[in-house]
Amino acid sequence: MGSLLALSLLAAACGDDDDGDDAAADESAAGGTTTTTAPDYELEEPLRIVAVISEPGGSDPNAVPDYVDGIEMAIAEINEAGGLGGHPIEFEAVETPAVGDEITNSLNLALEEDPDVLLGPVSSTAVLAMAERVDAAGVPMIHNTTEPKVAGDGEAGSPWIFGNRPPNDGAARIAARYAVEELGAEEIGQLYVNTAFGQSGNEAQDAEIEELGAEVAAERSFEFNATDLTEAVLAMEDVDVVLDWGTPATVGLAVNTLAQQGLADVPHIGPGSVGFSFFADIVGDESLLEGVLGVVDCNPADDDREGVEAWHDAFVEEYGYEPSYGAAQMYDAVHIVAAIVNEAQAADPETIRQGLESLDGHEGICATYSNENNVLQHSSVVVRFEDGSLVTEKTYDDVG
Amino acid sequence: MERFVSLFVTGVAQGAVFAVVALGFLLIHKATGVINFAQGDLVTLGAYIAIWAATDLELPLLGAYAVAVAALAAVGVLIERFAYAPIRDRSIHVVVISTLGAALVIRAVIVLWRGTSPTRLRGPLGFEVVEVLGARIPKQNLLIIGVTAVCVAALWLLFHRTQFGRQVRALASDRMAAQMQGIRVARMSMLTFGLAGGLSALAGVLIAPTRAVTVDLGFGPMLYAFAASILGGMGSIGGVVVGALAIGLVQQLGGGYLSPDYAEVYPFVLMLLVIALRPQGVLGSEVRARL
Amino acid sequence: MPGSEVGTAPVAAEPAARPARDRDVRPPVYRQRQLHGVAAVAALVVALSLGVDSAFGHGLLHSWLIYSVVGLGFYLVFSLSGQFAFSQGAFVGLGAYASVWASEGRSFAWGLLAAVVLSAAVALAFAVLVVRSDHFYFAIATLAFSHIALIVFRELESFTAPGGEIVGIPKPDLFGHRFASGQDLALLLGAFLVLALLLTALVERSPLRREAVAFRDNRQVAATVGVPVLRLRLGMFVLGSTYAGVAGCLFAHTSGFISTESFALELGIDIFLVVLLGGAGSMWGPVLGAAFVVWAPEQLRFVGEYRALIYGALLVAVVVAFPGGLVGLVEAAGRWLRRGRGAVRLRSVGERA
Repeated sequence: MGSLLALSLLAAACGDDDDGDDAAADESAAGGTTTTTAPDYELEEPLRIVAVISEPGGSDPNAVPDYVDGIEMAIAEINEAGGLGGHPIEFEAVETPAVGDEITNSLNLALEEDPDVLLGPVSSTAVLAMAERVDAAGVPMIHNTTEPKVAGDGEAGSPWIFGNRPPNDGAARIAARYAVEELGAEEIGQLYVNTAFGQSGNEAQDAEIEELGAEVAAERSFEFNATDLTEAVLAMEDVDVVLDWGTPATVGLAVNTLAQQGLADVPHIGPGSVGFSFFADIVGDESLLEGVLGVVDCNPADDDREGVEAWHDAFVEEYGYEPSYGAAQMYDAVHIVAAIVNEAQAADPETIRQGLESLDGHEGICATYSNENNVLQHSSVVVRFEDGSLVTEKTYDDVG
Repeated sequence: MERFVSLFVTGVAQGAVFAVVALGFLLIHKATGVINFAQGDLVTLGAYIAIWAATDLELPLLGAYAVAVAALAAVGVLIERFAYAPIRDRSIHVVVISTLGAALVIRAVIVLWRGTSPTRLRGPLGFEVVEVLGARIPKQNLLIIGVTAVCVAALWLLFHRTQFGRQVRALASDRMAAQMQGIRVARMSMLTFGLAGGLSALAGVLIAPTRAVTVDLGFGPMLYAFAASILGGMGSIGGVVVGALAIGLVQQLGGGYLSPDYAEVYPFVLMLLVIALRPQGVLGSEVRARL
Repeated sequence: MPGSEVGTAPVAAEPAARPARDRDVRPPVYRQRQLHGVAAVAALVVALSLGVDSAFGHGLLHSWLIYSVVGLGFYLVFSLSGQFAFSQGAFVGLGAYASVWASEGRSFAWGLLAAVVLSAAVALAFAVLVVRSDHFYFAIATLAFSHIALIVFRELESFTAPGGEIVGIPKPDLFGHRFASGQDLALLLGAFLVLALLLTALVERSPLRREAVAFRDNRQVAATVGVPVLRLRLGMFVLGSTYAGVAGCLFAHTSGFISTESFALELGIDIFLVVLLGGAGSMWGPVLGAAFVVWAPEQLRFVGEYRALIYGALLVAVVVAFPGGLVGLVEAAGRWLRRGRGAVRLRSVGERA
């Protein structure tokens, strides 16, 4: 017992953000859904988690702190409760850019840390660039992207690679379905960025719109760094709903331009990036956000499932900002791995891979996770802005 | 018709911003003969300083803009002192890499200081619009056009009616002779870098309210300002302004009436055509870039 | 004229070659012993690829070799014929997409061939289009070219892929051997670098170089003394861009994944830094510069968020302090060593007396 106490002290000392770990752990214990009660067994070596994630201040201009904060919150909780198999979880984070040559360097550095499981990356390009090496290295990876090419049957899929976001095309279909079924749209306008993300989302929406008997009345694509959407927005004049599969910056710009062109009343459904706290900053005027919808992975700010609210409040308390779904998913990823390790009483890569492969019904903060086609999450939430915060409109559990 | 008016005004407003950035190029180029690759990042820095002054210092918007312009004039002088003056007599390649390095440093400082999340600068007119011939025109666009017009007029007077302007033109037409006539080259280059820094900040605070502000804010305008300088022949203020307006209009009207998918390409295709057909630029014949 | 001809750098002359002029009648370029240098690089590559045993190390080695090939191409375009081109990155992309497109279902050799042919053809067409333009305009035209190329890569799905993203590109196979391991790849890339260096050395030692430099330094004079200015300029641009195309082919098949972002203007600027930082005055400059550009940012990881700031400042510092680039630094060190030795010898003579 003394050794356990010593270990938990050690764990507390190792935590990066010391002031407040206690609060986080307590809150979550109160929430109760995700606390891992440590079974009595001994691991030969501690579980080593290594993250390869873009962090603010690195070379990815869109990096947000949510992911690593989510991971560290979960690890701090587990370690304070005694760790796994008698050891605190060991954690390293390696910064990776979102694009370019250096992604491979980052992955190689991460692999040199001898991880039992890799968490991240959070950009599609990065996970595609890493897929081949991860497969060869034989280390399980839980990435936080919607990239369909790394799903189980994708071109770059691997038994070692799992994603904990619903696939992009599925979420894009939800946008179309919500527009037709809930908003009664018949004439639909589409905006999308001409990257793989926007193009595949647009195609999925086309198919869904046709299936549901509605019609695409106008369609415009633009560069990811577009700075003026006047022409595209003018084309949306006579549509019932605008589906917008753009980048955070272009969706924000479209919100502004729609308002300026007198189209603020047209419902405007964006992708997951609407759920990040900086989105409101981009739009610049809270009143314009009314009526903006988004298909996000989950909405921790407004979710009545057990324990989610407590988790949300603990996160805000600890880190001082609204957690996105990304924070929740990375927090969940750590708990998924911990549950697998506790169940198998082993923490080697193959055990974790098998655990992920057979994952079924793990209750997390963001969603209930089950593996299908190496995709762990299959639900999306349509949210709407109300007084500057996100309100859950409808939850879909059958997203790809 | 509304559509045309909408696109036309947008094109002119975008072109106006390119013109402000391009005038900064022109100034430095005339006085020193170099091309400042840090100009785009100065635009970005100007926007961020305005955001800082407006949110952290809680200055009124115009005050924040003034702080940004003044600060960037100082930064321009600093760049001249640290990244240009020590190597003024070196090869142009050294100067270019040095301005590129300065650009990297500015960008890194912005990221360290303000983070990477996209943000926003408020405009004095918010998102208000005014109807012109049935088209809804954002007032910010009209403001951009107005401020640019005033700025161009002021620069023209400065160039053609003051001692400073005469000296810059003298340097541009014959550096050696001007130097021998006692023009203080060091002071002139500091002044022009400072002025160009202020112009960048002006461009920054003008466009920032129309879009999300990221560390890439100034990159696009810098590319288009290059294009504008080409069209204008890198010679006169008038040439550069006309070139910039042409770029903005081609982008908007090309996107609106040809194919929107390639809207970003048109200005560059136009530029390539101009370079191919009229290697000296459409509106000028003076090519003296030390590049 | 031979004196200034040695001063390949627009930046720095190479005074080391000057004192020998009286004794040796061959043009000074022959005294630079490029072949020794190539052999040394080859030996270094073999040693490194055998000696390095981490995937991380191999990754850096691969990047260094590929960047060196692109850098050498830019050396031909920029240092030898004075053309300021930002288009190298776009040609790397063209070579990459062309080789993936052509090698699909066939061998790597087809991809390589396509990369060579297509990048040479496009470079020729582009150069013919803008050949009359002056320095600055040419530079801006290449900026425009890279911008357009990126958008075409993204939009032209039949040639590239949706969004320009291609995964699962097979590792290169040549002569019935698949170069899959980090070591094999390093050796293969090293072989390409040696080829590129040999070809560059040939250019260096041919009258082509003299003419190119004459053209670079004063095109009017060069034209009046009978240098075929237009042909030379086109030739250097096409050759240099083809180097980039080949490097793109190698990059695609080494990394297994390409997306348009890899070939954005940032790459063009990186390549520019490779040559200027390494030393634009020598064919060894790009090789040293590539090592710096690949290695330095990785070494700066420990400074975390200050990395970009320090890297930028370091860049300015290196350029300001060593106008001849890293090659200039190495030469200065060599001179200093020689001088040091000389001083020792003098002193010992004095002591004996």
